[in-house]
Amino acid sequence: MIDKVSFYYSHWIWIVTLIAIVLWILLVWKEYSQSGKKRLFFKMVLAFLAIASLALIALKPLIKTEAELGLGVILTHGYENTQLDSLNREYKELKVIKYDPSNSIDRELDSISSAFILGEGLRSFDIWQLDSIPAIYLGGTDVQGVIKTHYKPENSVGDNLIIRGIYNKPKKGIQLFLEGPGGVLLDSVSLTSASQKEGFQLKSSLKVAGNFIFSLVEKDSLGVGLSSDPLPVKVLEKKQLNILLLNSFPTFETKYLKNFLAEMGHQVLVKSRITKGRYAFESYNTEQSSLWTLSKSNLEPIDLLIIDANSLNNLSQNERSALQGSIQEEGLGVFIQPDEGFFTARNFLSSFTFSNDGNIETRVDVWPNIKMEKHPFSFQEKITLQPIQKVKQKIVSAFQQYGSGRIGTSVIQNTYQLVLDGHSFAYKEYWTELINKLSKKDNPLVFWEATNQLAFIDEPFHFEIRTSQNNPVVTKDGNIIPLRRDVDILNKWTGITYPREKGWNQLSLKADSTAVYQYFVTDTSKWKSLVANQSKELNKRNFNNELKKSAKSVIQKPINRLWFFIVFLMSMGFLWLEPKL
Amino acid sequence: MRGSEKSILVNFKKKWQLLLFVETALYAIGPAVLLLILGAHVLLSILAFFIIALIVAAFIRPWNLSLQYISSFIDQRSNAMEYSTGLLLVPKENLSNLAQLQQYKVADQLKNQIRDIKPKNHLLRASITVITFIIIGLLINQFSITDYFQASNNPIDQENSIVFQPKDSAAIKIKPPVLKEQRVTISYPSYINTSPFSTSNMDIKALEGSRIYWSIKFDTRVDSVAMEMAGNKHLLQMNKDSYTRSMILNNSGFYNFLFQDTLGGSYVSEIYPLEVFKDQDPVIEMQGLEDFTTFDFNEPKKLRFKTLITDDFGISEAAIIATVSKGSGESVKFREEKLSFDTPVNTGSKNLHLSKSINLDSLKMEPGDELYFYVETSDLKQPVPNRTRSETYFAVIRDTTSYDFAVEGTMGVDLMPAYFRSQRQLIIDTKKLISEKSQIPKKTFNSRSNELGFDQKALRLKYGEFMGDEAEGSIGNTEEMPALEQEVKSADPLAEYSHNHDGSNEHNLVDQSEQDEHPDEEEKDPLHDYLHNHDDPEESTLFTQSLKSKLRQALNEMWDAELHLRLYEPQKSLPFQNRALNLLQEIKNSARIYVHRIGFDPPPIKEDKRLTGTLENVSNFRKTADLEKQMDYPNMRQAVLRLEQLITSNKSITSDDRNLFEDAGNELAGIAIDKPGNYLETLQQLKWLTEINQYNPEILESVQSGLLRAIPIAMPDPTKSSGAVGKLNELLLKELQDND
Repeated sequence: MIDKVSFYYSHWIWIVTLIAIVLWILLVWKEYSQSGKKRLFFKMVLAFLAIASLALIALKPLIKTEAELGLGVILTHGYENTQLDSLNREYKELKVIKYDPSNSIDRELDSISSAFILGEGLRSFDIWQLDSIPAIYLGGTDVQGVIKTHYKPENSVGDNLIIRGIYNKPKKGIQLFLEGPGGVLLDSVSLTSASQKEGFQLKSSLKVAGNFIFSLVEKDSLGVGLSSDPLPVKVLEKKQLNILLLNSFPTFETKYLKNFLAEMGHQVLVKSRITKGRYAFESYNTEQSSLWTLSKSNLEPIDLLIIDANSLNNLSQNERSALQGSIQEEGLGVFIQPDEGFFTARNFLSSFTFSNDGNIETRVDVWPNIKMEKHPFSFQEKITLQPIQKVKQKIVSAFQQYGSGRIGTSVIQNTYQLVLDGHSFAYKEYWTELINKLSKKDNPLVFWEATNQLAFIDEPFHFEIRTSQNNPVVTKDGNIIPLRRDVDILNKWTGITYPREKGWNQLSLKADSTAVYQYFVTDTSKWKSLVANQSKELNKRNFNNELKKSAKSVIQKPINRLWFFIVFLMSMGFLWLEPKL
Repeated sequence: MRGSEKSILVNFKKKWQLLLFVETALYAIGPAVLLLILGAHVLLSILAFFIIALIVAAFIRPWNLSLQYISSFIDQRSNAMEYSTGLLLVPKENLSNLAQLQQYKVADQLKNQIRDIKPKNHLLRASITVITFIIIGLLINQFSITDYFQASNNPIDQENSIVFQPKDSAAIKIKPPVLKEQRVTISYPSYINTSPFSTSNMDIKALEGSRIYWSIKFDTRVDSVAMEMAGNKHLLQMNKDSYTRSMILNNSGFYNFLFQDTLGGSYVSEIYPLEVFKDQDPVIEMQGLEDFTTFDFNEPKKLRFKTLITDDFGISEAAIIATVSKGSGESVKFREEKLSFDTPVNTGSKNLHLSKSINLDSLKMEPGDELYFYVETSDLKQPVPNRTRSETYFAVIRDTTSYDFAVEGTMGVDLMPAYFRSQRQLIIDTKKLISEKSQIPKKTFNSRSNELGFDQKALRLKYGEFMGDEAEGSIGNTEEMPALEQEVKSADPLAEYSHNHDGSNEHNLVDQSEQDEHPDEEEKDPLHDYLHNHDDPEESTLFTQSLKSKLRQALNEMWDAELHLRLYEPQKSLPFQNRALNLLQEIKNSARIYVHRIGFDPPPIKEDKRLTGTLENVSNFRKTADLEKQMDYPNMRQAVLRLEQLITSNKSITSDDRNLFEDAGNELAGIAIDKPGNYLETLQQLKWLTEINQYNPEILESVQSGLLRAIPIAMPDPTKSSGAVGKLNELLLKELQDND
């Protein structure tokens, strides 16, 4: 019997007991001093009953009973009253539970068998609470505002920061502004109310390295700011590449490319054949001044090999295997400068297939005003082919993964013509994109990744690290954060932290003080529409179960406290009446 | 009874007096309000009010109003009083019965009439005066006429006044010295002819070379005043009670003031731009003239054109430089002349409309002659004036009798200098002279012979140059006689042209004598052995040895030919000339290059022979260069990042930051010189961040945004990125590849 009873306010039990005992002693002493030992024991019992029922009123005792559970409705932020009314009409005795992310609804959930969820839904970190209860998410008012954003949080100096997003239910005249550090206005877009969901894109060039906060500012047609949401952006310094160029004869293409790379400070070694067995070596920003044969050891520091098709096919057997090994194991990138024969013949390393399209001129999608020369071929699409540049759905430059390295080529030729025509910016952008895609990736000791871009104060922030270390220890402000290893992918570990301070926070790896990860924490007043939309989608995915209309379950039911009050009243009444009798 | 009647009069008097006082006040209010509008102090205008009121009151004297005057006034105004108002003032006891009766009647009448009688006053006039004064004041205020008077004597107007900020916030505790007067005097260079002008605006824009004179005055004594310019500090000189400095303006830049008060507190001012503009070159516009004009022989050969010359500060001179060329090919001769315009050139004017008509006949031009001319002008700039010249224009008198000289196809290279009379021409001319000998006077004959001698000399000297001889005087030297004398003077005129084979020391068996002759030369020139000495004719590499000796021979022949021509013996000179011509012809032929005219027809290449040549002399080529890329504006970038940290973390500025901001400021100043308007504010705020301890957090953001705007967009540049490759991805890719 006793194990069936518990108290709602069980944490008060000691105080209440203490006070009750004191009260009882006081009461007994009073009775004793008033009327001596006459019926003292009886009065003591009565006094005990009165005090005990008082204590029980305070403690709210619960009793475990088997009960029929009904349906419940969980109201979250942004629910619609009409929806609630319809539900109430349909289901009698619907239990209404109000959800607030900062409070637990654990206890209320005990008394329902299934739940409807109205409004924006439960936040991602509260989903688990409904694990045992089937629920249906019915949605709520449509969120107005930015519901999705996408941008690269880590960039290099000179990169373009491109922010793409979707705005839900735009009103006419709403403008979105991209503001840089110091409130510099960088880009803006004006929304039309033509569509239900409107995509937008904002763009700016990143000039300075460091961690910066950009903001997405929403203003109405009168220029009154509606919201300003932070976009944390990490800008890294440029890292120089080590590039090897092999040509079977000197070309203008290589000459201009080499000039561009050398001027930008990259380590460039050019080897071009002048005649049989004689080579011209040009080395820039590097100690190495010549390279006779390719071997695994001398390919090791190279990030990107740019080689013409002829040289590639003329490599010796040893060189071929060295090159293959470097690409597959070290992640070396290769760009093949094609010649006419390359597109039709079988080539070493390349498994690209081409089709003749007869066009010798093209305009790449990003620069529609600039003509570029090309070979009269285009790539045939296949699943392993990853495009770099496209012209109207046709791929003009692409790469294939080859082990951990990448092999790429392009049907565009004589790009130096761009420089001669005065389009040197386009030329640089073209090659920058190609080289960035192809060149070897640094493999840091630890690679950090955050599952969600934004961290909010007092809300869980999930992160994962990939490291070859056996037992990595991640700390934040000196406190160790427990990590969980992935079952299948052994170098992947995940962790959760609850940020307490706004601004840039830092996680660090104990083994390596340089391996730090910085993430930006903001408060819940920011990105409201985005967060609302995220939880909406999450709820939609999670809560579409069959409802259990009724179920039996052992629940703890509070005993009606009126009984205790009656007992209290009667005991006290007798104690009051007794001296008068 | 009588008392009440008298009281009517007394009341009337009071009313009148009040009106008079009001009138007085109105007169006084006018000027007082005017003073107030004109910006005088309130107390001053109140004082003026009282003074004027007193003066006006002295005239009007409202207190002097007597009841007798009033009663007679009422009598005048109202017939009903029957001129008896005065009775009311007389005590009843003193009146006769009739008078008492009259007094009653009048009193009755007065009670009724008194309301209709208006006291005499000039309220209207006074009101108009007030309104007039106020309108005048408003008008003056509206058109800021006061400023016109004030500008000359008030050295500081609020907007332009130098604002000094204490560097250390602690210094605010005491009252800082206040700027009393600031003045910049700009005197343009003397050639501009403008008087110096002063302004209190510290933003200076002036002509290059102007003298700038600053003078600032403080209300109390300060310790020192300095001016910071381009990172240097210049102390201002104490001159009477103001601090002054002057400098010649040469470069654009920025400056600011700082001063120390007597208690050691430092103050710094805003930054002011110093913009220099250059005196522009004059601009010439030619009107009514084509680039190339041709005239027929029988036409009037006049060129008319107008020239418009403009300059920003004044033109000093303009002239036409004309060159007439006579003849063609080898015998072309040039004559240069400076022509002035028909309209006089007004020195110092900024716009000149000049016209000129050139008569080709007056330039003694003949058919086939060409005239090249251009207009040259210079402005007043000192010390070196700006010069501009127009394009060159051509005028030709068509020579219908001339024939074109066609270069023969076989002559690939014409080694002869074209502007000399050739040896062949000399021979023809000599023959012509000989044939004309009988027809012309002896003087002419001699003169022409001498002229031919000169031409022969010129030709010899020219060929001598090929040998590496130094030209003795210029070819165009018309004073040939002294030159000849000089030549004669030297003991052996041929010495330098001939090898002395007759000497005893022919094979340099003994080089003693050489050394004796030039002992110093040898010592002077220890580098001799290491030099490729082109000055020595014997080492000249222009011709091979056989050619050289032939040319030497030809020169000797020419020398003799000239000798005879100079002696007026053309007949005797002819054989030498002919021999020289023959020798030259031989030399020419040997130095001639023959080129097949049709082009080169290479034999077909045998493919199997390709790349089989010996490559011993072909070596590998190596080139190494270090092109370390310098990040532009590193300090500005650093400052932007540091500011971001300062803004987000609420830390305070350290001394390292100050240094950084100063460096960033210097970098920004470099950019800002071109566009001071854009970055001046940022520059100013950076300066304050480096100098002042107390700052507004908003300033950080504003500086950051200013710096970001100034940093140019980075060029695309590939970079090494990092990325992790998961085992799972690897497996997937491998699978994909294998099944591809």
